[in-house]
Amino acid sequence: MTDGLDRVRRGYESATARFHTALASGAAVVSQTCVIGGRTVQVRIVGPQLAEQFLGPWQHLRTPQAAVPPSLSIDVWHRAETGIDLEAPSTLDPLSRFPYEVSADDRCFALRQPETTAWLDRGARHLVAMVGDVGRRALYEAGRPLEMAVLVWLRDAGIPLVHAAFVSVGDAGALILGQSGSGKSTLAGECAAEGLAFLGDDKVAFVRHGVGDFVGFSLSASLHVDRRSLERLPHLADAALAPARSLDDKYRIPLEQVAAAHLRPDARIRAIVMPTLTRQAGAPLEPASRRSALLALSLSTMLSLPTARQHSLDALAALATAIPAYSLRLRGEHTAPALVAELLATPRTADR
Amino acid sequence: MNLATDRLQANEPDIASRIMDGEAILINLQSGAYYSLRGAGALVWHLLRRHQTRDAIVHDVAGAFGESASTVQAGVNELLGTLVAEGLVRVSDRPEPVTIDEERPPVALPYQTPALEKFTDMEELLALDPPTPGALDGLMRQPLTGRRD
Repeated sequence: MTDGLDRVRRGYESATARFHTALASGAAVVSQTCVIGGRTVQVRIVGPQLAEQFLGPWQHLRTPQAAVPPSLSIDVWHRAETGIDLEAPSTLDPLSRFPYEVSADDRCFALRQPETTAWLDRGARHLVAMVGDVGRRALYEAGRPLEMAVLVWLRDAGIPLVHAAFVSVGDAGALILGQSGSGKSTLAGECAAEGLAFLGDDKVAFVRHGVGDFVGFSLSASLHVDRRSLERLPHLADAALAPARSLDDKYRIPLEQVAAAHLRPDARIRAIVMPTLTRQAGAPLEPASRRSALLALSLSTMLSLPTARQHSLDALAALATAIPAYSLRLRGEHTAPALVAELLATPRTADR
Repeated sequence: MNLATDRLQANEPDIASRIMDGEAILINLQSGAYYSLRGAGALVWHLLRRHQTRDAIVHDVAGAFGESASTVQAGVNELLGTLVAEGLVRVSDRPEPVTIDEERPPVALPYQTPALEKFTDMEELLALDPPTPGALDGLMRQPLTGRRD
């Protein structure tokens, strides 16, 4: 058992050595500093073709190089451009639901995707990855680079996550809640098409800056929706990339390419929006209780993110306590983006 | 487990909970079931999170609601039994009560026998798509020390 788990540690060490071999291979190196979850992340990519595509979903997170050491260093090389290969762990099946492995001392974390194999040293805050052929990546793999490893790092850094879409009007943002498949990505896409800023369609990192002051951070510019939702996004549908692999069940719309002007890296969280499909009469937007907000926040987040634990619920409770929540009745018409925009344009408090 | 003598605690990390507006909301991260405790039940849960014994819980609840220990004992016992049966509580691994970052729930008189409400709509939804990967439990149970920045 121990030997088996220690292979994760050996895998990290081998990958780090291979990355340095790739650095010396003569292939161009692209360096980029990003802000992810409010923390500085330094990315080095060996292979310009990989860099262009890999960094796309993070392009709005770019920042000038910081003077302080980064909170996370990410080193990635492209096998197709460097010829430097590394055998992926045979114990990890990229087609499984949980293609992850942890070393015996919990220090190293490995993940395998169809074209990406990555190792995170949690102690060194160093993530090293190899991409086989960037053009063959699955849509989720391309749209949310190294996602689970980044989520583990965020969790270690004490930065909570919420399972939600996130849009804003200027610096005023709204979290849009909902279980997977409930339509929150579609609504976020509709908001982006109507001129609101897009910050995310699935997961949002957040921090509390002061009493009642929460800032949410975008983790990716990628929008992932099913075929039926494309009909509601006519201005974006032409850019949608169709699923080609069995692992992909949604289309990817690379907003970094078709809606770059509508991307934001962060915004203050001013509202929690809980869409419901209903034909019942009533105001389209009504204040909701803190209890219902906490339940919606926590059930969706806690049961969908494997990094969620008690500390996550504590952070979500603080959010539900401070930020006003609303039920948004969706009746099929396309007025929801205007309602969200109107909501964000009006300062409100969480007195419920 | 001996409910009469053992110190008890919430079955973390599989169970996450939070008290808001006098109601304790409990989530079983393994099954997707979630629960609600109100009134005296929320206070019982707060005391369980502090690793109290059954007798200490009975004494505390009785004092908070201005009742005698004998009045609340049967209800607390039954609730503890239900919590154990649901896998929400286990024997504590601490020799003493602990402090937690959660305010004691407010007391709303009169005392009513505490009851656990269970909701399984998420459980049914997630039955074919289990929410938590056991492979990550060790990693998630304890962040590396000194890593928060």
